[in-house]
Amino acid sequence: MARWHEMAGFQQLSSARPALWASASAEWSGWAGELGQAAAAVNEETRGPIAANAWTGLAAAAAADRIAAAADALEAAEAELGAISDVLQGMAEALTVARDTLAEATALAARSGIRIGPDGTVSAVPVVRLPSAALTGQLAAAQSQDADQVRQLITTAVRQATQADQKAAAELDLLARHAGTASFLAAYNTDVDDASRTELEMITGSIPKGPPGLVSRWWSGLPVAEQKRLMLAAPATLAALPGIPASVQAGLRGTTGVDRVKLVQYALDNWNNTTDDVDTDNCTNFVSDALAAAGMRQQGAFPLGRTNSRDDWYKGPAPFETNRIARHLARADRSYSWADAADLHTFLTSNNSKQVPYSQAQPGDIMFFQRPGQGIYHSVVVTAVVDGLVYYTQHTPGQVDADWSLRQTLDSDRGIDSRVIVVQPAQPMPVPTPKPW
Amino acid sequence: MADTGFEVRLEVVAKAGASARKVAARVASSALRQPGDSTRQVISQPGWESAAALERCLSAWEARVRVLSAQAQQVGDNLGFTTRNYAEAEAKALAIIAQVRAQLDGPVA
Repeated sequence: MARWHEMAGFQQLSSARPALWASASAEWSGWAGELGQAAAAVNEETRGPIAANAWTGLAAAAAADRIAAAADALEAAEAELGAISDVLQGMAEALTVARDTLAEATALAARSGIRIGPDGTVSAVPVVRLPSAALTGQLAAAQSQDADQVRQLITTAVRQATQADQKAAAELDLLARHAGTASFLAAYNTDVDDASRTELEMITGSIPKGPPGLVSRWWSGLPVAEQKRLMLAAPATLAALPGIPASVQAGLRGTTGVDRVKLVQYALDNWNNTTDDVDTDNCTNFVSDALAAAGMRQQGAFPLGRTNSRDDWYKGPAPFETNRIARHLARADRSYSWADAADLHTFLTSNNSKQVPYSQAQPGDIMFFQRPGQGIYHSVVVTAVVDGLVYYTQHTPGQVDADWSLRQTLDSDRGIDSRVIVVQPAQPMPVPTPKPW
Repeated sequence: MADTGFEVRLEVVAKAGASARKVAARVASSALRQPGDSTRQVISQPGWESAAALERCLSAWEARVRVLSAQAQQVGDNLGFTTRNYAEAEAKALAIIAQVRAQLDGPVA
């Protein structure tokens, strides 16, 4: 029975067109945009004038509530359709990887005189009898070995496509059931989050977890462009996978003295971990903990108390407890730059880390959110980049692999001008020791 | 007792209603044009669980968007009725005032 499913998957995969899914994703994104514009029009041209005292009184208040609800429902729909677009994009990415795996199987089969049937069955073309029986035997053995690899690659490709298909189906069914969601916040906090996470899971799930030999062959068979896409989309998975070349894994960790893979892994493992929370909003405490886990050296000294020098970045040793005094101590033993987004940005950019354009963002970068008039107010960890779009992971509230461009679009349609600053963290230069008197 | 006083600028409320009706038309039209050919082609691919789920999604969302369009239309219509009702009330009040004035200023016997 399992064989029937796999072979049916082979036929589908052979004729699958990832670009079609990507194009469908763009269509849903476009539809989301239209609804976002409709919501903005309701807010600006209907809700706004009435809110500006064109109509007051009890009836006006009731009407204003109704108009606000209509706008909210349109914004919720925009968010949900954006979530559908994310899922379809994940399917396109995963199918691309699966098709590349299948292409590698086909290429190996062609080189080795192996036939792949229309249903995916693998059979060796009989070896021509050579003058030496020993040579004929060697050739047949090599061909048999290659046939095994071709089978493994085909099975891997079908599994890659199947896992993505099942994940996408589950998420799309959820999004179909949630079509009645009337609150933007409910849509954003549940479905948009889930969808972008599912998109990344589909991509990560398309990476084979087989024996190192298979992984190595799979990787070397991928086009260079696809390798680069996966390095940006799933760095932590690739860095831990036996069979991925050591040079690739080292490249993922970076050369700035701050281990990008550890930074991403810390974020993915701890985005919802509240055991070390000391403030109501712990976004930057979380980012600092991730930087420390990635090996960034602390500067400044806890015994000095809480400092806000641009060259200080530290967290003292006080253990966190749930009682009020310990919580106070825990807050007091860290530099402002450890806990405050704007101060962390100042520390990083004053100490060897580099601010880069959004288009150059990579997993393991730190992203700061800012608004005109408000400045920097939030920090997150970039955990993936897919087709130039940044996915980030944050704490309080916890979000994993959230889609920044979708958030920015949704904010923009609601009249919020959200921007980001991307910083590539690097080990700070040692602060010179003060000369003795 | 609740404050039942009110103020209304009829032309602004009327314009706000007209705008909501335009939005309703735009949203309804989006459901006819979107998502488009690629989505329909994906849906027509047999054997993919996600293609079947996408079809269910499309069906649910087409229905939902029609509801959203109807809601915006209702907001627009209600604002239109409101404007007309206020205008009629104003006209009636003016007529009553005029009538009372006419009675007060009527011909002296």
